[in-house]
Order: sequence, then C-alpha cells, then structure tokens
Amino acid sequence: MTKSKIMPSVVLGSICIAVALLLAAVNMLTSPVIKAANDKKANAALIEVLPDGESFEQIAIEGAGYPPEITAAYRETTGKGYVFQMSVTGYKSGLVIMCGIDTDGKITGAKCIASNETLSAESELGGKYVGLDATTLNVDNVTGATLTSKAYRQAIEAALNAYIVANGGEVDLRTPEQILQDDLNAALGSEGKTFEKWFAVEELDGVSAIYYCDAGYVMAVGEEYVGLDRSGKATTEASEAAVAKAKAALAVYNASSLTELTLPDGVSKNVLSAHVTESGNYLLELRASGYGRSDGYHSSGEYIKIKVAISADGKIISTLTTYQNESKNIGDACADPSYYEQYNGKTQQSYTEVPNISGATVTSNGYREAIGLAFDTVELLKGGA
Amino acid sequence: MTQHKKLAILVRGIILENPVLVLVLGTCPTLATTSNVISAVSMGLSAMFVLICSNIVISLLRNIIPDTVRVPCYIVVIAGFVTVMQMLLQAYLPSIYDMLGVYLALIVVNCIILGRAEMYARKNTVVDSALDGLGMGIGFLLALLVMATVREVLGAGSFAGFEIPFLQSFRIPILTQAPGGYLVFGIVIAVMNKLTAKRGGVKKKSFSCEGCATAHLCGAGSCAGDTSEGEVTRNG
Repeated sequence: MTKSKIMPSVVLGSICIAVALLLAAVNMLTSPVIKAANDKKANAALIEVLPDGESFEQIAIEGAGYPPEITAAYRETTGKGYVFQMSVTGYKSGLVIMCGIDTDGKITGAKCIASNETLSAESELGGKYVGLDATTLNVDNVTGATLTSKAYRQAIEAALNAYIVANGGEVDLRTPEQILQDDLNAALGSEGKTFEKWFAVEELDGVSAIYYCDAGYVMAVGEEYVGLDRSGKATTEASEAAVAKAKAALAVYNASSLTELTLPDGVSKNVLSAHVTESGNYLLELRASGYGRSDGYHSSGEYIKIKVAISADGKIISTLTTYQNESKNIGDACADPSYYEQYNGKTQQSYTEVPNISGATVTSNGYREAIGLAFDTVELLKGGA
Repeated sequence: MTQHKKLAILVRGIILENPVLVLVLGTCPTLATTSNVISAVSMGLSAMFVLICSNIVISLLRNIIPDTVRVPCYIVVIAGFVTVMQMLLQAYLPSIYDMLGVYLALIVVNCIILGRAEMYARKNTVVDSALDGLGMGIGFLLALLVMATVREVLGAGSFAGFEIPFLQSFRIPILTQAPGGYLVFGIVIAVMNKLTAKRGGVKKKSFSCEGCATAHLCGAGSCAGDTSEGEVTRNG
C-alpha cells in the first residue's frame, strides 16, 4: 500500500534529478560558448562608436560620481578610450545612446540604440557629434525635433562628464539651484538652510540679490556672497566695501514697506493687484495671455502670472514669473530667470528689446504685452495719485 | 524476418503513418516553420533528435515508471532533451537557434513526441522504440520538407535561400504566409491520401482512451473506451 503511494513520487523525483544533472552538464559545456558569442554581439555595438577598439571591459558606475544619465561604462582594454551608455528623456523616455570617446577627449562616435521618439531625428544626430569635444560641443537642433535634440545633447554632455570621472577626475553633479543654496549656506556659515530670494521692490546699490532664511541674510555683492546674521553682523570674510554695501542693502530691505492700492476704473482686468512703496516704487501683479490662452494645440487655457517692480523713475527693478502652464520644454522657459530677468533694468522705451524665447513666440509676445501693460498701469496710477 | 519487421517499423512512420500528413500530429510547427526550407529542415532534425532520444529513454524506463505519474515523467524527459538541444544550438548554431525562435521550445509539447511515447515507447523494446522514433522523425522531416519546398519555391521564388531566376516574377507571396500554409497543407494531405489509397487505404487507427492522456478524467463521454478500428480521432 505504502509502496504504491511513495513509488510514483520517488520515480518522478529521481527522473527530475537525473534530467537536472544532464542539463547542468550540458550547460557547463555550452554556457562559455554562448557567453562568448553574446559578448561578441555586444562588442560589435561598442566598436561601432569606438572604431579603433578591440576588446572592452565594463566599469562599475555605482557610487563613483558618474552623472545620473549614465547606465553603463566600458573601458577599451588596449587604451583606445571609453564607451558610455546613457538613458535620457526626449519627447518620450527611453532614449538610449552610446557614445565613444578617445584618449584625447574627442567623440569618436555616437549612436542611438533604443528610442521611443516619434520623428527618428536621433538617427541623424549621432554623426554630427563625431570629432567634437567638451569645448567644441556646438550642434544645432534638428528642426521640429527640439526635445529629441536637447536630450541627445544632454546625453553627450553626460558622456563627456563621465569621461572625466573615468579618468579619475570629479564632476560637479549638483543642479544650479543646489550650487546656489550650498554657496549661500557657506556665506552665512550655516548648514542645510533653504534660502528664499527677496523680490526686490527697492533699488539696491551694488547688490544684485538678497537671500534670506531664518538664520540670516546673504547679499550678492558683485561676484561674491556676503552673509549677515540676524543681528546684522557679517559672517563672511569680505572687503569692507562689500560688507558696507551688504549692510546698506539690509537697511533698505528692513525699511521697505508696501501699501496696497485700489485699482481705479479703466485699469485692465489683466492687472491683478498693485502696491506702492514709501519710496514711490510700484509692485504690480499681472496675468499674461501666452500660449495657454491661445487656440493652440494642447494649450492649457491658463494665464501666465507675473510680478513686476518698477521704480519711481520708470525702470524695472525686478521681474518674476509666479505661475505658468505653457508648453512643456518650449514655452515653460518663461519661468526661467535667465529669460525674465532680461527685463530687469528696462524702461518703457527699451523693454521691447528683450528677444523672444526660441520656438515660443506666442508665450514671449504675451509676456512682453504684460510688461507693457505694467508700465502703462504705473502711468495711470501715478496720474491718479 | 526480424530484419524485415525492423524495417517495417522504420518505414511505417514515413508513409503509412506519417505523423503530420496521416496522423495529423504536430501541425503547429509544421505550419510555422515551413515558410522556408532551411527552418523546416532545422525543425525536422531537431524534433527527430528529441523523438529518438525520448523514445529510447522512455522505453528504457518503461517498467520503472508507475502508471499514475507516467505523463509527468515523459514530459520531464522530453523537456530535458529539448533544453539540451536548445543549449547546443544556441552555442554552436546560433543562426538556426534564432531562426527557430519560440518553436524550438514548443517541441516539448509537440504531440508527435508525447504521442509516440504514450503509444509505442512504453510498450516496446528500446531498439524498436528507437527505430520508431527514427521512422517518425524522418516522416516528419520529409513532410516538412515537401511543404516548405512548395511554399518557398512558389511563394518566394527561391529554395533554401537561393533565388530561382525565372520564378521571381511568378511568385505567389500568400503561400509564405499563414493562409497559404493551410492551403498547401490541405493539398499535400489530399495528395497523400490519394497516393496511399492503392495500398489498401490509410491504416486508420483509434486514439481512444488508451492513447489519451486525460482518459481518467472522462466519464462515459465520447471516448468511452472504444478501441475499434475504423474510428479516427485527430489530435493536433
């Protein structure tokens, strides 16, 4: 009885073990051959971007300071250079690019090996980068494929940075925002504080920006940062002149006060609020009709919101985009300080000189109109005062 | 006499009981791999290798494997040989491995192999089983070759990748695709039936409960223990 119950399991189990042993033996025999063939196939892709290469070994990239876009790195074993594999997001994610760099830091080849992009622009971009290095990286975007081109460039830049790391160097992987916060903390002698930038409604002499946190202030005086603690004492080793400028700016900051104004009739609905300072400067909040308010494809239906401070003598002190929902990676550049700060220092006569964002004419025109409206409104408010 | 009998076992699988054209087993790889001659021959040879090896092993173990676990045991053996062949092909003939793709692994569930194990190998000696495997394998290979030749020559104007110049302008591309495959299959079976009619008709065989792997699950249903000749049940 028991025998008939155990025997089937025993027989089946024994057959399974025997087959497993046979498979293990065959695997031992064949897996080196299979691996060599697969390596050769993979090597073929590497040699395509580093033509002088013969054989490659993979380098470990975890925790070694490589840019985040790098997904694999290979050193050519006869000293011809490196190949890096990057994954970036263009129009869609999953754009995988391989780039070979020789011992002079020059790009020997770049090829896209996987992509979800829609226009196949990535297949023609690779060739444009051959022969360039970090100093000569000047490749035009493919018309109509801005996102893909930007992402491709981002990948190549990551490869060039990875080349530095692979050669034992170090690359600063911090974002510009992180670098700014680190520098501000260093100036104030603090750690881990998050600084906010003051939207200046007063003109400051020699100081381009005031940053504040609960531990104190940091003034951007020319090229350096000067920190002042809550009691107004300098925390940075700086020249007397710089410290004096910083302290003066702090005095202006502390003395500044805003009074809200009622908007008279006749003021456009696009002016959301108006304040005036004791010194006669105006702070206006406006909304701009950019791409979001146009009948464009995928337009959000929303306005751009802007803050502008105009001095008593008609010069823009500060500009800030407080809200936007323009097209991703095109019109949303209006939220970038490098765009809107171009308006700083402009007057009613010169503000039209600010160039449009490339590829975002509607957004830029809407923004410019709002700035013009700000000047007009200030005239109106002054007239009524 | 014995030699004649052995030869009969071998020849039976080629014509009278051709697994594809008469027994209609293994139709999936037949239709899938016969769009060109090279992949058809590769599939035929691969299946033959597995068929012979599994027939031999199952025949060797026929007195050891209990009835209750016989199907799992057969499958383990067959899967083992298929995996061995996959590894060998991947290592030494990677282009064939890539060409056969998923159909290589599907040999495990090829009805010809499990069917012959069930119908023949477990009831006969090792030599007879090996000969049966060889015969069935050759029959499978020849059937695939005939089909692939028709499909590739008439459908793509080439044979084993070599282009036939004057046929290039007279191709019938649908023959290399699924509908054409079925068409050719049906026609070849019809021709086969006609050719074997003279030999006293195709030997009809019953696949009733004895040959059915799920016999123990049926009740008094359609295959209720009917072992009479003249009843042909087709397996795919």
